Amino acid sequence: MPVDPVDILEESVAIDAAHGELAGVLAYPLAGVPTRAALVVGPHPLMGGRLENNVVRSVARGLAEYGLTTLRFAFAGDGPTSEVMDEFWRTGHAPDDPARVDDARSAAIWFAHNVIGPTVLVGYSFGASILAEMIDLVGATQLVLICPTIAHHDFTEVARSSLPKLVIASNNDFATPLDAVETWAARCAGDATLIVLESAEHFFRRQEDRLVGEITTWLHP
Amino acid sequence: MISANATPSPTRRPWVMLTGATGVLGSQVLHELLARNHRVLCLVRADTPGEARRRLADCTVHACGDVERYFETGQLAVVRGDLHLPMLGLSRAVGERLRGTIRSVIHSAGSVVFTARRDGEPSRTNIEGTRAVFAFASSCGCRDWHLVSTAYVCGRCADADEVMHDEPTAYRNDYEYSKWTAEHETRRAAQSAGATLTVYRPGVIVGHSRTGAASRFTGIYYLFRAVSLLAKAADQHGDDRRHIPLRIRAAGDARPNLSFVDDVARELVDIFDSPAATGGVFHLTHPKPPSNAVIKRALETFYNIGGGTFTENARCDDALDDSTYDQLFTGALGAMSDYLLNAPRFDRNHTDRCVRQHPTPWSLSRLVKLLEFAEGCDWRPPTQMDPARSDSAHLSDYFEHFMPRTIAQSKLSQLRNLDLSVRYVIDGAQDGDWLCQFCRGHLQTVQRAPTTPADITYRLDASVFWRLVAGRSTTSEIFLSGGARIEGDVERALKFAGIIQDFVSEFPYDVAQWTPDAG
Repeated sequence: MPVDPVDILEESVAIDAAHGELAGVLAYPLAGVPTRAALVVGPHPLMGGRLENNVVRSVARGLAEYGLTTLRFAFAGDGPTSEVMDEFWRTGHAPDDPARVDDARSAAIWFAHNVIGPTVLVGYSFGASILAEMIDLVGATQLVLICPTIAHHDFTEVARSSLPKLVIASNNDFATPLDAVETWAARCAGDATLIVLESAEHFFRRQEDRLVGEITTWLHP
Repeated sequence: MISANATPSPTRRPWVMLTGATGVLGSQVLHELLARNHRVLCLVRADTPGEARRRLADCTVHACGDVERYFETGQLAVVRGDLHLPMLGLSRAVGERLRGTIRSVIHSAGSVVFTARRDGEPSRTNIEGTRAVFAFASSCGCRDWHLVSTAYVCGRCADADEVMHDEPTAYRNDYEYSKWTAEHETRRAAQSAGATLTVYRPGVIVGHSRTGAASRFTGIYYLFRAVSLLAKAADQHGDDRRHIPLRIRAAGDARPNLSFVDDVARELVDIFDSPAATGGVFHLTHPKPPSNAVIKRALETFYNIGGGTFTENARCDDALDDSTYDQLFTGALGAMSDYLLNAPRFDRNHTDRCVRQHPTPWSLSRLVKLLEFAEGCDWRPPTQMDPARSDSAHLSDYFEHFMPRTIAQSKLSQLRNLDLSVRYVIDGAQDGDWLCQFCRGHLQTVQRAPTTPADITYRLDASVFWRLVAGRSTTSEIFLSGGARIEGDVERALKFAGIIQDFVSEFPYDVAQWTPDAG
């Protein structure tokens, strides 16, 4: 694996999914042969889960610059209905959340068909909560959970996985108190490494490079 | 398997490699290439891939807008490199990977240093750097070479044809020598490599023909800046007539060949796209540039000054008699002054046969537009130009009229659980503090300069606000890039940001109707 970051290429891809086509971006080093891969799953689409999300984009690009082939994707949908928005406003859960899980599974199937190599699953926020659905589909070897929304979503299946896990949290994340993440990480099956970034909130604004650095250090000790 | 080894698809189009994309002309050339669906690989100097992407994005935003979309579709890529390093500083692996994938190289990078410096410029970049670029092109198997030179490789002459010139009897400066040498060295290298060389020769490049926007203020802008300083000096001396007794060593009817940057870039890519043009020499000059007298009139009009006279035949020893104004003016002008004295006429028959559209005609108002832009940004080139400016009347229109009317028709009004007070604090705008009270999805009240607390507050710059309501930026982009700050309940603020995003997509507020430069 290269020590220094390398120049990368990106290409847009279209992924067939049950609820419509997903837009994705595949990133990989300009030169060299990637031996590993990463699938990055972003936040809820009603909470900024888009391709241009700063964490999703930075992690996908950053890992590619360190030699991995990465895929990030946007969840399907032409925009929420007023019913979906109203329910999400009230409960924090959208009625079509199961469809978003299906989207992620479709992305995982596409990834498994098109990318070879040991795969790291990276989930951010809501995306971390649905990684368990994708582990077998991509034959994942490691999990990275960024600001997992322990307080809002069910992480039982993720915790049960014996895969090595890197959990990156913030000490001032509005979505989940740090002690909840610490407790959850301690109970995980398999090795779970918890890294806390100070004052990163839930969003890692201007800490994106540090976030990528923590992941690459963990991947390439 | 698409990317088991990250091997580019064999069906993918080859690259046009572009150097100098962060420069004045290069950024506009990049815009033209992307707009015409070329796949462009930019060589950018940077320490990390991220820095290279950011630098390219920052330096081209005025010409190309947000280039992220081009990165993400694979139409644009950046490779870090340096003209001053062997093989451009690219690793052997990168060189191997690019072999056979580059269809053409457009070398637009260059130094505009007029007088030789200790660091070797301008020859270091214009001669040695050019040599390195085309050596790399050759090693990659690229045989279609394009060199951006200057019309002034003709040196001191009255007329210049679109041919490779014999060495002029006299150059104005070291810059011209370096460009002439680069042309001839590259021609020889192309012949050795079996490549075709197309040479583009712009004149003096200025800002955009429509907006006056420029990303740097060099060249003729030294003249503009000198006059600007003189006008300020006249103000300080209390001369309310603003009469500046200045002797301008130039001919009133001479025409320094000023060309708008967008015209030059468009013509360059027209020629690049024309198979019949391959291997030619092209003057990307203006067929009828403004005379010194017209430039002087524009400056006098804009700065409300007078008193300058042309003294074409003044000798050097007259400098002893120069006034303070003369000395200040001449010093500020520097090597540019020579281009005002002697302005060749450039033939452009070759160019005219290949381009789709003639350059924008010059006028007094277009000259003034250049000055307005430079003064408008206080001679500091903006990396990002705000498409819109705030104004209290428009904020009032937006909050008091547009929002109540359109929200009633929107999906937002159907959110029966939405009970929320939202405050917008818009920095940099007069009357930029507004409170919106939602009750069961309806916008119940709107209050300017509120005194009651809000559930959530968004703080954002005026330019960011107008981009948001125009639908040019998403709420997540704005918030996550730090363009907006949230106070209060963060979770509800984020949820509401998503709702507002949906609303502005449904009902964008068309700032273009009231901002002259927008759109």
